Amino acid sequence: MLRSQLLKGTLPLMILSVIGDGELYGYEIAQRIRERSGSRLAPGEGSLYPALHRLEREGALVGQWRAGSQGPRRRYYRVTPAGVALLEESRAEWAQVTGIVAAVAGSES
Amino acid sequence: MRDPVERFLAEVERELPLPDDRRQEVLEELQGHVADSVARLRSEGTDAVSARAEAVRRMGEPAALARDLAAAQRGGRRVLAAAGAGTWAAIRTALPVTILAWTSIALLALIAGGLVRIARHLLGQEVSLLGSGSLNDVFGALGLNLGAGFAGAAAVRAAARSGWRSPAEVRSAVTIAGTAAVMFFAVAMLETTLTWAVVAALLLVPLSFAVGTRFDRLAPPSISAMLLGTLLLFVAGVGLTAYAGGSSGSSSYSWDQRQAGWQMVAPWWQDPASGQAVDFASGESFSFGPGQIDLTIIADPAVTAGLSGYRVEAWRAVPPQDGWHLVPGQTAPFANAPAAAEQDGVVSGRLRFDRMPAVQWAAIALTAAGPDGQRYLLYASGPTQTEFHGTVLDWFTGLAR
Repeated sequence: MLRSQLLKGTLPLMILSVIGDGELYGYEIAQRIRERSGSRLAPGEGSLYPALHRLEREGALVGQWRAGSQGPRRRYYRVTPAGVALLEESRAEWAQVTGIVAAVAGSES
Repeated sequence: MRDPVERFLAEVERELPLPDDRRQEVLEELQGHVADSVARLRSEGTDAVSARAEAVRRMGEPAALARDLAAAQRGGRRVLAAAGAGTWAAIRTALPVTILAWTSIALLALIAGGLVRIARHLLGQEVSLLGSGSLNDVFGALGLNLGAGFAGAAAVRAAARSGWRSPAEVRSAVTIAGTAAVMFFAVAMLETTLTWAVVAALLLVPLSFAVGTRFDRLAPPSISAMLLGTLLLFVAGVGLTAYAGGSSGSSSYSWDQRQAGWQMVAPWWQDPASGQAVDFASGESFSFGPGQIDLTIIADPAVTAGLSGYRVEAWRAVPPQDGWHLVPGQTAPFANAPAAAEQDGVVSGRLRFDRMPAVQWAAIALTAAGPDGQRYLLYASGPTQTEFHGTVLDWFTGLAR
């Protein structure tokens, strides 16, 4: 399992990525991240919600309560156009960071 | 032992400083997440007890989660909302508490006065109570301290509620900003009658506010309880006063200005024709404004020929209960102002003499410089009660002069 501190700053990018053009609620988002990472990535499940709420406050996500087919109602999140722009920007930044880190950490001397 | 899920949600709820509707929504979302997590673990073969414990463990530490959730919800406007709500709560609390404290103190004084009179009747001898106008001012300042203490507590509660933070998170900011504001009000803005005791009580007001911020759970009694308490005090006070009857009487004093020590101020001016000392008291005209005196003397121009540099002066005097005199050892008046002499013999001047800390009794004099350069006394008044009136800052500025 990867270190949580390393992942903390990437959580918004992962959330926007797994929601994509669909609609998911919190637990589903956590499961998607876990599945896509092959269970190597499991951010503290509680920490998902502050990130979701911050993205919602910034206008990158819209949350909506909806009754489930069975069980209690859930709050579903979908990405807004501003969220799509943020996702693109975050992806570009991430590519840049990983490239730089690889160049530095990967060199032998 | 309490269920771990319930315990987790209760702790998040307790630590989550959000408005009720938002807090309930957040809790509902977390509750749904934990329920899904438990269901998933159960489907994977985990027993019910372990599944609930594991689902909670995965959510992380509840207090830290609550802090992160609140931080994610609030924007920059929350700081302004907290500042505004804290200020308003402090004012809204301080005013009624201070007014009610003053009212209660006044009524308690009424009760005490009634008890003293009853004791006087029963014992047949003089019974005195430590009471004076000065003491009333101290009680007034103490009422302000009560108001400030409750205001500090209310400001923390309101700033936390409107800023979506815990009281512990806003306490330092409220204490620093509020104490500075209260200090400015009590020291530099509030003009009142001051004595050393009142100054000390006013300097305590910012401290009372700061102490109040440490007790944010402290709320004043309800308005109805306070009104009921005040009514009971009122009934008791009026009842006792009516039962005791009469007034406590007033003291009188006599004085002889020739014995009062005016010689330390200046020698009396002598009529050049008769060689007798003159005193223009018969032609005096006094009028008192707030903390000031307007003095007009009608003098015979022939008698005052050669005089110049007329001045109204205020000298310290001792309380007049047993005869009165000037405070010995004085070399200069504590306040003075020039007076104007008209050709028809009218000399008039205005003097403000309520700006000297700790002076309670003053004697007013009119002096002028003679042809020899010596200052002479033309008129001397009896004792006049005075009190310093101004801000605490004025008080200390006056002391430094």
